[in-house]
Amino acid sequence: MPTRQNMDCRVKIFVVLFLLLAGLFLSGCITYQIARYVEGDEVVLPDDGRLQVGETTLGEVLALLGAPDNVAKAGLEDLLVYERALLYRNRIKVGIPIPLSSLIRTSFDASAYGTLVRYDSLALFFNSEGILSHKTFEKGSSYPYFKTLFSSAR
Amino acid sequence: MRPTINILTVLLIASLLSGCIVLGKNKQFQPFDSTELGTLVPGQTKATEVTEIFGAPSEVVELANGNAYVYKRTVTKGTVCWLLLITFGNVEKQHDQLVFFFDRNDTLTHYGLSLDADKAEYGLPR
Repeated sequence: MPTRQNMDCRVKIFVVLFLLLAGLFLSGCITYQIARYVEGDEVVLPDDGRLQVGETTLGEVLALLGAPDNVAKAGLEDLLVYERALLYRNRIKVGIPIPLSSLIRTSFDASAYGTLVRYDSLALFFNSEGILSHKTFEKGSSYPYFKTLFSSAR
Repeated sequence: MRPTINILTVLLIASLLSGCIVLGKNKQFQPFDSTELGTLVPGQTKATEVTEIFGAPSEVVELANGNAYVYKRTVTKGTVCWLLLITFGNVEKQHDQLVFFFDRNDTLTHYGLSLDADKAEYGLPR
């Protein structure tokens, strides 16, 4: 007569075997994807008063922050943008990894995903004398500052 | 019984960890010669001299009081790790960028340099 301990062991073996076989048979049918995309270096707004509107020059900004990621004309002013883009995506996909379209018309494929996109942007406007006229810093924005600003023009 | 469970557990872990890793690198790159920057004199150097040294710019931008020549070099590093049911992907793109500002007479007024291409790294999402 099987003891309770032996029964427990059999259940454990069954569970492990089931997981093992399910994993092997389902590989490719179910996938969970975790993706990250980064473009650009970290954008930091110097908070020690080195960027003073009406005082700081274009040369001082270039010496402090280096080359901007984007340059543009904004009306009568020049715009320098320092920007970093971050994208995180989690996706679960269920389907048959083998193309069956030549055999059957219908196919089973479903996926769900969540995407988080954020932009850190520092925009600096300079007047015709090359003096900083105003600045904007945004961390964690859903939209890229540069593309959004000129989206109507394109 | 216990050795059987242990063997099966090892097999389960091994099968879950089976997969592969791919590392990719894309380099649109020709490093800037920083010694050449020393020969540039704001207020004197002309746009033609800059293009003679650095070649054709990646982009020319019209500004309110002149033009900007943008030189961009990009390094992209990607890591993909496939496990049995989970896939991890990570792509990192960094730039070396050099921007020259010219006035309406095509005379260099300022320039800025950022060297971040070396900061691109392989790795998993974090």
